[in-house]
Formats: sequence, C-alpha cells, structure tokens
Amino acid sequence: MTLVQALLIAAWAGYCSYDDVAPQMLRRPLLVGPLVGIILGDITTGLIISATLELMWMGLGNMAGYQTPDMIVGTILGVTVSITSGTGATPEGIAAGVAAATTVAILVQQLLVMSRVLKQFFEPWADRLANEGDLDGMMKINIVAFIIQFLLRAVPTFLVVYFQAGIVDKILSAVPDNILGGLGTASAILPAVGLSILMTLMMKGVLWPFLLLGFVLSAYLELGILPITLISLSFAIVYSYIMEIIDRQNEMAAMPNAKVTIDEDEGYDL
Amino acid sequence: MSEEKQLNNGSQRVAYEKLTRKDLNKVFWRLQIWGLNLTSTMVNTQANGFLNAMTPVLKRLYGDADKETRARAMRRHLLYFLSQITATGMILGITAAVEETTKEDEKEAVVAIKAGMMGPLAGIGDSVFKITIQAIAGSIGAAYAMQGSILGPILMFLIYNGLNIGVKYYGIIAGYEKGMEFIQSGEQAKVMQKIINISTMVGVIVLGALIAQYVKINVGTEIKMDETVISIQSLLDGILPKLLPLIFTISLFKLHSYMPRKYLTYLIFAILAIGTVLAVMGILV
Repeated sequence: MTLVQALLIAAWAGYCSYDDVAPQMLRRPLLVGPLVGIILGDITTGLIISATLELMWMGLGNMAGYQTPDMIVGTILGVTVSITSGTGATPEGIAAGVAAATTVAILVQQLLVMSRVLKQFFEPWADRLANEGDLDGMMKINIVAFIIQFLLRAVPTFLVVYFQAGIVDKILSAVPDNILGGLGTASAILPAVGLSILMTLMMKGVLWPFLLLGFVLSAYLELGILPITLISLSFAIVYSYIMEIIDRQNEMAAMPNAKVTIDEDEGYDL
Repeated sequence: MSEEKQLNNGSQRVAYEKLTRKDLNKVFWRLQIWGLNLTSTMVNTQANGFLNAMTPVLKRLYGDADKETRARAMRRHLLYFLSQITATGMILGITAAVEETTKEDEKEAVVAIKAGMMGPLAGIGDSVFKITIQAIAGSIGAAYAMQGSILGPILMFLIYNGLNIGVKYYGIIAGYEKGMEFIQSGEQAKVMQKIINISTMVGVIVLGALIAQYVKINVGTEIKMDETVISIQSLLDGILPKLLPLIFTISLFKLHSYMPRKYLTYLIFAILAIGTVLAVMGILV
C-alpha cells in the first residue's frame, strides 16, 4: 500500500466518523466499504466483504446511549485486510476480513467511549455562550467538534492501515489452510447474529406468521429481496386496512344501545 | 396557501408572520450538516445540537432583543434533549411555531412541548428509520453487492437517504405550518401508529426472507448403511429447505433475551470458533 492510499483511506475514515454523528447518510458497512475497495483497486472484493459485514451487523445501531462495536473502522479495516492480504473475495479472504473487522471494531468502541469524556467540555462552553446571548458562537463548537470527530477515527485508521498491513499478511500465511477454510464456513453463519438482534427489536407475538411467510417466499419460491419487499408492502397495507375495519366494527358493536337510543330519539322527535 | 387558511380560521397563529421559509431552510441545513450528536455531552446529551439547529429561528425572533432575553432563549434550548435525528425535524418545526406564537411569560410551553415530543418521536424514529428502513435498504443493497454489483451500495444509499432526508425536511416544514393543531388532535398518533405497524410488518416478512437467503448452515455428515449413503443435509432439505438457518436464528433470538448486549462480541467469536472446529471436522460444509 502506498502512502497516498493510506492517507485517502484515513481521510475517508475521518469523514465517515463525522457522518456517523451528523448527517448520518453513510454509517453502514455497505456504504462505507466499497470506496475502500475503489481506493485499493479491487472494487469487487470491497463490495462482497462490505455486504457480508452489513448482514452481520444488520440489527446493530447506537440506541439509547449504548456504544456499539465501531462498524466504520471495522469495515474499513476488514476490506483493507481482505484486499491487501491477496486473498480477495475467497472464503478465506472473507473470514480474515470479518475477523479483523470484529477485533478492530471492539478496540475502537473503547476509544469512542473515552471520546465522550473529552466532549464533555462542550457543555460549560455552550453554557457560557448562552449566558452571553452569543447566537453565533455555537458554530465555533461545531468546528472544534468536527476536528475532534475527524481525527478520532482518521489517526488510528492511518496508523493501522499504513504500518500494520504486513503483519496481518504474516499471520494469515502462518495459519493452516483447512482452518482458514473452516473460518470461511463459520463466517457464513454470522448473518444469523445480525438478523437475530433485529428480531429482538421487531418480533411481537402476532408477527410470527409474517416471519414464516417471508421465510417460505424465499426458501421455497426463491424470490429475491426486492419482490418480497413489494409483496410484503401490499400485504401489510391490506392487513392494516382489514384491522381498521375490524376496529370500527368493534366500536360499533360496543355501543349498540347508544345507536338505538339515537334512532328512538329521532323517532320521537318526528 | 396556509397563510390564508390560518387567517380564515381566525386562529391565533399566522404562519410565516415573523419567521420565513428561508429561516426554516436554514434550520434544515443546520440539522443536516451538524446533526445532533456531533457536540453531544453526557449531561445535556443532544441539547447543544438542538440549540445549534434552532439558532436561525432564535436569530430572527430575538436578534434585536436585549441580551437577557436572548440568553434566556438560548438557555431554554440547552435543556436536556434526546431524540432521533430524522424525527427531530418535526420537533424543530413545532418548536419554531411555538417560539413564534408564545409571549415571553408563556415560554415554559416551548420546553414542555420539546420534552413531550422527544420520547415518542425517538421511538418512532428508531423503529422506522434505524431498524426497519435501514435493514430493508441494507438487505436489498447487500443482495446486489454480494454478486459484485456496484448497484448495491448505490440503491441502499438512495433508498435510505431519500426517506431520511425527505422526512427531516418535511418534518420541519409540516411541523411549523401545521404547528399546534398537529399535536393537539389525536389524529396524528393514529397515523403514526399505522406507519409503524405497516413498516414493522414489512420488516418482519423481509427478515424471514433474509434468514433463508443469507444464513448458510449445511451439514456435511453422511450416514453409511451397508451400501447406501444417506446425506443428512438432503434429509433436512426434504423436511424444509433452510431448516437449520431458521432454527439457529430463532434460538439466537431466544438467547438474546437472556444475554446482555455487551456479550455480543463474545457470541460472534464463539460462533466463529465452534463453526470453524465443526467445519474442520467435516460436520459443516
């Protein structure tokens, strides 16, 4: 890897780091990884590793203050390792990428927790601005915060990508082939982790038949995700209309007396 | 159009009386570019970001006011705020409407409305954007990317951000224009509930499809009886294709209810380790 490539990857990591907390337009492995593939000149591997990581981390998101393993640096490192180690998008390459991504994601997670302490000084700063009624001052905090946020991921990414890539190579060549192949098979199971986390967030009692429906559409009918999404969308809309009608009928059934009295009243009036 | 409507209704509020559409556009750009989490702290969480996004409104309303009024307005928006960024667009719009219409001694309404809305809208934002749409867009994108097509990330980016940015922007505009009547009528809650229900259903159906499509567990063991060789995998396929991925994913789902989220990483490593051992032994292929 050349210095320019390492700098580009580090800059991309820095930008994604800012994107993660502000515009939130990228922040997912599939959107972060492919550009690393382009920088390193192997877009196909970049796409496949990113897609694998996307599925593995599917249900993972920063919710209610919990800091998740860092998907951004994880993805960037995962793609870099797969491409620079020369294994590419083979099962071994994917396995090495996933292992590197997971490990790095946890290390950076610790770093992000520490960065929250650092950001704490924004609070007295903002208070001081508020007391002075300085409406333009907030922009200064934004810019300082941007620089901190950018360096937070750009610096570690540069150090690891530029200086350590060779080490990963040596480790890979030291591991027997059948173990690497086994790792490849094992990492094909990992999407189950991301999907099961997603289930904990979405599954309620009545929804089990829907899960089964999707499973059957894919397992038996072998439809793609896009047609299944469209089928399920029309299905869900029809279902919600039916529920609405049932609700309305229940409401009417719940007060038959009220209706009768109104009719009677009208009758008497006439 | 909405100006006339407001006047005809004899409502106390006239849209765009002091604030302009330009101010609201500035609020949107501030929310889009600087977000809420960039300057978040551990005590007030996203309040710094919220104040930053509200600044164009405060500038218009309090730009000429004395220092004390200005300081009070700023401190009001530095109170604890925590919500979801996409859904915050609507909170910003409504807060702007309330800031514009209330008198100086009624300003606690601003704080109350913000506090009342941030929780429910965070719930909607998280379940609709962070979970459902992100997952659906991600799985559509991953399907293409797995085949090495650049269309994957592009599609994911367009689907996710089209909705993400659109809802942010229209949240601000609609939140401001419909203002108070939006929150006071019960209609809104019903519509929101419907959106959540539909997106959850779509999400769960797609989830079922993803299990079949992406989780790969194949048994390589074969049973030899005299001359015939029976592959366990073909037996399983005879019962239901992709049966093992379904069972495994559902068991993981059950496991998550006992296991704290922080052990997730160990779980990933455990699956990698056990899976590798089984594969080396030839039980999994």
